[in-house]
Amino acid sequence: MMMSQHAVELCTLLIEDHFGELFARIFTTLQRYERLSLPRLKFYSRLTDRQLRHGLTAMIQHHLVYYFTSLEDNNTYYESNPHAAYYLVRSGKILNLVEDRLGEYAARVMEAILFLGHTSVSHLETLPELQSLTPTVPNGVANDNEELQEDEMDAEDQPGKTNGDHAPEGKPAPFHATIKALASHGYLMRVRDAHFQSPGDNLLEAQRTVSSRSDIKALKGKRQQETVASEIQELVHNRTHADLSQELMVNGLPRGIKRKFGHNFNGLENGVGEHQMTHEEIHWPEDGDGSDNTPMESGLVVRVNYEKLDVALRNARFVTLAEQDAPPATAEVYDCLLRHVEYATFRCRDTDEIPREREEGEQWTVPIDAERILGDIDPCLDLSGAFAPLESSSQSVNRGGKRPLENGVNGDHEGSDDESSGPNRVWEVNQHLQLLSQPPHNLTSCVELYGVPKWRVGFRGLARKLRHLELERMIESRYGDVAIRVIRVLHAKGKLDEKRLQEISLLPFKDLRQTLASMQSGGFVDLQEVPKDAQRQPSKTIFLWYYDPDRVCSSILEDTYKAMSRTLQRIKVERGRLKDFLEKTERSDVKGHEEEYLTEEELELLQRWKDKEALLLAEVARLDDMVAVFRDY
Amino acid sequence: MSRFSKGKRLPGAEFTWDADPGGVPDTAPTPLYPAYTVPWTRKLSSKEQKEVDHYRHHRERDQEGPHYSVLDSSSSSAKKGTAARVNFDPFTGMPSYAGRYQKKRRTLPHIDPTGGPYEFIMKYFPRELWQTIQPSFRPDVDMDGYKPMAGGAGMKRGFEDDEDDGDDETKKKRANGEGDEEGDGDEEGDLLDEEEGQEEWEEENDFEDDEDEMGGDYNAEQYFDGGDDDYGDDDGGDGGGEDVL
Amino acid sequence: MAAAEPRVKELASKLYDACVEQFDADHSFYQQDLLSVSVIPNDDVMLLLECAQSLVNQKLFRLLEGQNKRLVWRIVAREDAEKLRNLSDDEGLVFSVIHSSGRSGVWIRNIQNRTNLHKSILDRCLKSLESKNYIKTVHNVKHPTKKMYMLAGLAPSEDVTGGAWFTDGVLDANFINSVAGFIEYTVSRKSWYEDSADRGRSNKRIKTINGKADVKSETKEKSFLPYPANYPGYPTPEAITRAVNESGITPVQLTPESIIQLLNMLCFDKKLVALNDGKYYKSLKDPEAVKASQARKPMEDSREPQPIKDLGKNGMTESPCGPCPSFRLCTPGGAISPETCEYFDPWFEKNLGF
Repeated sequence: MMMSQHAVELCTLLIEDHFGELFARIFTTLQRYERLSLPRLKFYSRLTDRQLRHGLTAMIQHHLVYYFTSLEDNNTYYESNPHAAYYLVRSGKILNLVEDRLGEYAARVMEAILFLGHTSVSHLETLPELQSLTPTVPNGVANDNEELQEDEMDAEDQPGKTNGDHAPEGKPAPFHATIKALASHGYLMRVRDAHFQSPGDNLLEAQRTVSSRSDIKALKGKRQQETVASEIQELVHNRTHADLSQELMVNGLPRGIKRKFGHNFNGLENGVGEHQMTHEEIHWPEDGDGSDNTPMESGLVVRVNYEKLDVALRNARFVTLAEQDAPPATAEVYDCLLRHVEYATFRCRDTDEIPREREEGEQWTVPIDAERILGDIDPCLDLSGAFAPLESSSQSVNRGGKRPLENGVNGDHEGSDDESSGPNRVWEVNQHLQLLSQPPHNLTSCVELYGVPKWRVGFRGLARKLRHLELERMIESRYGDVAIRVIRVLHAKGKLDEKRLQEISLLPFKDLRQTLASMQSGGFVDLQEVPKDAQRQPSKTIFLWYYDPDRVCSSILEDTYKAMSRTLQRIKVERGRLKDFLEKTERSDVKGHEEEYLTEEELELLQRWKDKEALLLAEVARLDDMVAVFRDY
Repeated sequence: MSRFSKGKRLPGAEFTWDADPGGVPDTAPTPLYPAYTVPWTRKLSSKEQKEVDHYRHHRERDQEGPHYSVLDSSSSSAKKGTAARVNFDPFTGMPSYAGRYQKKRRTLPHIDPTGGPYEFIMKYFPRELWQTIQPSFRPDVDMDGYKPMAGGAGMKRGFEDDEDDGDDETKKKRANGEGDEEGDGDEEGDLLDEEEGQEEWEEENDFEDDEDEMGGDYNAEQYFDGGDDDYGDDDGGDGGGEDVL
Repeated sequence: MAAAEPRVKELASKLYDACVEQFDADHSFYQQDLLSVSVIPNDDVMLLLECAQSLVNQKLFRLLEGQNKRLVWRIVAREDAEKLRNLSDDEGLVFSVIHSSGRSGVWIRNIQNRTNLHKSILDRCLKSLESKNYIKTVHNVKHPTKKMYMLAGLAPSEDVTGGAWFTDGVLDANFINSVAGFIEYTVSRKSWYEDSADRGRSNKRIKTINGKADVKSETKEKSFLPYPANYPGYPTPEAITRAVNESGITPVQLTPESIIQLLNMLCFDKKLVALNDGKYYKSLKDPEAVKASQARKPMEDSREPQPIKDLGKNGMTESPCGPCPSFRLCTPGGAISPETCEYFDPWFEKNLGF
């Protein structure tokens, strides 16, 4: 995988931060020489045989290194996996997402899997920290509300499941149910042998296998080419296919969905409440025979499925788009729609690269009707108050048709509020979704089937809108709102000379020229010269301004990588400034007992350091949001 | 970003980054860090704070894990491959009472297929690394010791396609000394320990033995032989941290 | 033949009137066209030629050479003919070139090319025509440096002036901003429903100014609700044009075209969105937000965090690296490096307070 200098620098920093210098050295060497056998790697990296063997073994465990053993010369070649390295930076978002959706215990399971690289479910099950539903607070792991949680432990009721697996004491954890919930959401995937080879090697290997088949050799010409191409695709797919969600979903829904019923959203602010919610809120499906905590297939080896998690993270960005213009209730309805969209979307896009602007077709998600998502909407959510009343109030009848059987769970809340019942509410959900379909964002789109409106999302177009939004934010902050108008005009109309540009943008020449010139030097717009004659005199040349978002995106992406690297490097610098102090706080006797061992000033210093590091890390995370938009969505 | 506020710049100001009105005159050498108003930043939302905490937690786990290893060039202590401190400093680097609590860094990932938190599934690793994972593995001898490998056929590659597995699969499962259940590894490992001693792997095994003696722990406690019991690890968190992970 | 003169003149006059009546002003008359108006008895070609010549002499007709070297006549308006009769031949030539350019005006160099007059003669002619107030110079927005002429009585076309938003060829930014601000607020008031304190079921909200004032006195902040997607009450460009013209903020009546130009600009600013291909316009901000953002002064270096820009921030706009003037040169271990960077400390200070 070819990567830019800044991306490599960033990946190396992340690896070093998580796993130390040895991994980082191996990674950079492999990155520089693309693929190396052990002896060559030893030569270039100047590491000892043992360092390399141990390092490579551990790195393969973490998927940081691909390898390929050639059938011809029996040599094994190693290659770096910058993709896995980069995703180290996203772990905070991933864990928070999982916690949000499936609760604290699920996040703990997820973290264990992230930590292990890949693991069999049977091994995972034996991990001590996953035995109990309440978090054990291992020594040395910072946990601010340790005390709170311990209190909480006593107050908690025994969770419903009693499946005394290996739980030593306390509450047995719903381990298998949680793993199934994670897997059926698609957040985990099955580890396949081919995942240890780079995508390039998998493709080459498939090519070799296919082209050596006798039935393929029998074909001729174009026919052969086509068959080969499709067979290769299929073979690669068969070897790498790792989805676990489909086999585990029940009625098209993943297991263990955390319902939000009866809770106002602000509940999340409060750590204790959140904690208590965790297992009460997980609703294991009622069908089956309560056997959801039965073990998964034995020997199943899982890892984290970043592709799917990106879908979930991207949907969260779409919700923030909705929040910009639409009322909160509408955004919440949208969130529920997107949840269903997520269940049916496996990756952000099908192509490796983001297609060029205007060359990309739309991709639609599965159409979903309002009734289907109604069950996920908090029954206390006021759907009707979000809109201005239309004069004809009679419109609200007879739209929704049949109401599905009430999902017993939220039946209690239902009776109290007679406004929120029956077809009326379906109609209201449709109203919200219809509002979202309006410009400028067109967050939904309606298809009508047999008179029932169904809603889908054109996610390629929305991903593009996110990209433009990030670029426009930078342009606005650097060049002002005048520049934004100019950029949008150029983007909508293509190449324009100054006159035409002025007519549309209605900006004074002076402002226009200054803005264009500074944006040109900043690399956001370009100038094309079209000479009218061979002399190419300036007076006989037409100058056309244009804006190429693809080019700008890729250069901003590089800058973003670089800014992330610099920020991470600065964390090291800041750490270095406090080296002695921080080493003291990390001493095994001090850690976890800071209150006892540190003075008040030291405690404050520690808090300041934590805040400072948090600010820098949050900045890295925000930069990563941009990377996601420019590269992954 | 006031510098870029609309239309308020001097003519020509757009051509340079550092044209702050009233700033450094043009004739002065360009400063390395021209004056610039650093941006305001949004306060961390509670979501972001949680994400950062999750990130730090995950990172810390990796850092404390048995695979974190530094390149050690300055340590005065002991031979290569043992736990040692980075950037040895003769003033602070000498063992001291407080030092026993100091975080230690290993210089080699600790590959421990049975005791550590990681599970090494042999078929996912190239053959040339199998001995690193399972020191008793002999590349030229089948794990059961029954027969030598037949010219490497069938086992050349680190893994096989699922479809092709068939008999090999079971063989490999036995071969990797790991199987799907935990207990197996120990048993086979013990069995095969007897075969240790080939010269080329001596160093390797020495190291593993070292580690075994240390109970797989690389922490400072091991610097002070026999000191373990005296300075209560009784809270179960300090020394045994690795086991808990 | 002398007796024939008045008759020819009379006939010629009739012919002229008939031509003006039956044909476009810029029609090219061939012989048969002139005969077709049924003024010349017996289709007498000789008589026709005499009449035509008489009209040419009176400058009421212009003689041109058409296709295949056939003779072609064009009508000249009476008032123009009158002017032409007072002009020298050269002046007449220049006048007709300028005349033919209509509301677009003509560049001085093009007049020279077309008339083949020497520059000094041309200048004299133009001067004389200008002093007679027959022609005027115009400012063309597209070619601000070119000297252009146009008949004095004509209003320059929008191509030349750039439309209502230009004054003497210069964009009138203040005018544009005030009209645009008015439009945004007007559209906004039609795009949002003002919610009263109690979110009651009453559909009959009083929407008068007084009603609003009452509500305001009760609740601290007005809240606005969007209309459902199928709301038919969003304003059309015509309604907006009417509102602008009635508001008294514009000294001249603005055409719907000019207003649409401005609406498009507002759409590029993402202040408005066009619905149904521009049939309706909707404001993205509610009236209070519009007022607030219009009252906002652009702040130079402020001590306080600036109000959130409309688009919001991202990692690159708020990390010290994003806008850093030395970013390109920054390398670890270099003269400009993350280790030596002087921007982080003020950034911490600013955002953490220490």
